[in-house]
Amino acid sequence: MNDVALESWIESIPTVKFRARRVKLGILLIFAFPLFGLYSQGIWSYVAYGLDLALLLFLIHRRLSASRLEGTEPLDRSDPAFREIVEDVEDVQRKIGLSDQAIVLRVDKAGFSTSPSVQSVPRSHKSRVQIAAYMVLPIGFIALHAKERDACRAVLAHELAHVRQNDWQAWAFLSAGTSVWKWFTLPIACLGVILGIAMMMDLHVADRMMAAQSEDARDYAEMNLMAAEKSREEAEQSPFGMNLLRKQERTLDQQLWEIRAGALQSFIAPLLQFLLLRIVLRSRSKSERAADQAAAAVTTPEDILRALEVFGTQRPWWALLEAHPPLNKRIDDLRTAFKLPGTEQSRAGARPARRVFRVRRGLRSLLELDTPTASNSRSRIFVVALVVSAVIARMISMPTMHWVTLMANTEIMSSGEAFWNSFHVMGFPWFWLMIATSLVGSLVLAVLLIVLIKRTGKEVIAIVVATAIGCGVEVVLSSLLPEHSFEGALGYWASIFAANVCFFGFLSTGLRWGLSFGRALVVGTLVSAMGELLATSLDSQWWTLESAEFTSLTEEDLLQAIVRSGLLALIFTALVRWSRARGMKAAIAATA
Amino acid sequence: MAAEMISKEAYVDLMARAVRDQFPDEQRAFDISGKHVADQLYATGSLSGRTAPGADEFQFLEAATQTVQFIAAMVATFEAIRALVEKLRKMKKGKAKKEEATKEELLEALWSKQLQSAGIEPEKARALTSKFRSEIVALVK
Repeated sequence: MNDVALESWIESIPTVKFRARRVKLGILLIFAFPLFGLYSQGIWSYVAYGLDLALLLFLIHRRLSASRLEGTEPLDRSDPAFREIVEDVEDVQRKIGLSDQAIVLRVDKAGFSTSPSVQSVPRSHKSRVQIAAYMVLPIGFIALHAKERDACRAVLAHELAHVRQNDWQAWAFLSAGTSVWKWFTLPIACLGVILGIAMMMDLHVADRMMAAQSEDARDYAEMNLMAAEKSREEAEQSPFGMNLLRKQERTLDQQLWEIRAGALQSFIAPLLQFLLLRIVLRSRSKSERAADQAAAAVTTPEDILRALEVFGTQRPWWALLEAHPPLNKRIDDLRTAFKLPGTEQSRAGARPARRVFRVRRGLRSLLELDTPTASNSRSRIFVVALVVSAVIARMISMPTMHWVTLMANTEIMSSGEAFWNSFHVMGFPWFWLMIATSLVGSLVLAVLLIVLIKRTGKEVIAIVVATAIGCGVEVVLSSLLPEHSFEGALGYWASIFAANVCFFGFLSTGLRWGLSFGRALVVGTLVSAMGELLATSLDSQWWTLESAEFTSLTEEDLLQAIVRSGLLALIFTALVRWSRARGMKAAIAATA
Repeated sequence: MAAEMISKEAYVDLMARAVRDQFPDEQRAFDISGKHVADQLYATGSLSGRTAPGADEFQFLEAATQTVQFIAAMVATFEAIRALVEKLRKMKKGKAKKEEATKEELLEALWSKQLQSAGIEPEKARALTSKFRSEIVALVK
């Protein structure tokens, strides 16, 4: 135990407590200030503002409510099974000046986290309701404690130091605030920006389309003026018409600027909120550093360093609202405070390799590219599955699209007639040439994907590069067909590229997240259809702006995307499942 | 479901002996929580990996299954039994082609794969499968 460091920490506690109070106030202000509700216009700004605040209060309530302790049981301090861990808790409590009543221990027998946590919930004490601190010890931590007692004792000291600093309530506010921002404010802001862009495009497109369709652009302008005049007359007669009148008087340019300002506002308000949250998070960093140093003083710096270096997890770089400071920073701070060597090493992030439980490696594991014996047959199956499913999906989706077009454009045909007529496309040579381009494109894609994953081990890069090239081959080939232009093919490339990247990307991500193959495939398929639709829609909008022709996302596009993605997924699943059954049989044969 | 083929008590008893044999360091943790793990596996078919209920935890590994071996072994064994049961059921109904391998060989192939993919060392996985495979097959009705 380092007495000097411990005394210095105890002296700093009043400052930490003051900081915790500021955190609570800061979070409430960030979300209560009306400016931050303005990420949409009109009445929606007030709805968003209200929801923001309501969610914050709800989450704070949840984080401070007894439901946080559900599934946990009181820990009997006299139970021999918990003897060692209770000894450590009581020893640390004594050293940092916490009474036995200051903390209630609970055990989570079905919680497999390796980390203890501190909760603050109300409890009745002598017929009065008080906010009490609970320390939950999950079974994972108890198991780890048996193996790594010194490091785990330092972790207990760190958590108990938080209780002594009295900052656990402030963190309930902070974590509620970051959750609201991540899961509500940010999506709403993104939606606002997207809607703003869509509205801008809509106004552009509608105006240019009408002007282009008029014989003389001046006719269109005059027609607008007449409509505006008529609206003015109607508005003047109506007692509620003044607001409408003001709207009518705005020029198209003004409306566009308003929409641009709205889209910008959608972006700026949450950005400001984010920056303020980051400032508040700095307080948390200071408290974490203080708790680390308290733990090092109560136990030894080596113990807490071991806990961090061996069992700590580095947060990903994008976790900008993560409550804990970066792991390497915590390690460096400790080494600097206690004048220990090895700062450079910790900065380099040198940590022993760990076993990973049930973490799948996406497509790499699906194709079993790590297993030399299985990789060849599995890869062949994958290539065949992808090519066959792509070709069949295209064979069915093309007549389907034709059918919908016939239905939409011919009034004389019944839907049945249109359906059978749609298959006439199969009689044309270009149909089969299109199928051939799909075959070549998907073959290139599948082979490249396997080769790149195998050679580089980087799934994301492999997916993007292989898809770009595979789709590029298909598009270049199809642009050579009669009545097909390269410009048109470019738009088609965008949609199939988006669909394929989404499909493989989400299939791989789903498997990495530990989803079963079937579920990962469902997610991949849905996202693929959405990706294709989005790309088609943007492509239509882009062409519209350039040529002043009105095209937009149609039912045919929608149907084609769904049919193609769905079929691809179905056939792909069937073939991969069949290959798995074969693989299992081979494994059994090898064992025998 | 494995529940239809091997009783929960028999499974817990088997795992208790497996932990005593291969993971003696984790005996205390198994005594406290082994039954809860089995309850969850039999109730839901999987382990939710629930972490401690709070955002204020130490910056530690999120799931104990990465460091606590007995939980990984329990899940892998449960999965292997389930796969064996499923395989046998299909064979019984004639949906799958009849396997040339015996039940024990089938289980060993499934179990070993599950244990290793759960992060159990190959030697421990081999020791477990060779020692307990006959027992599991005998328990599967």
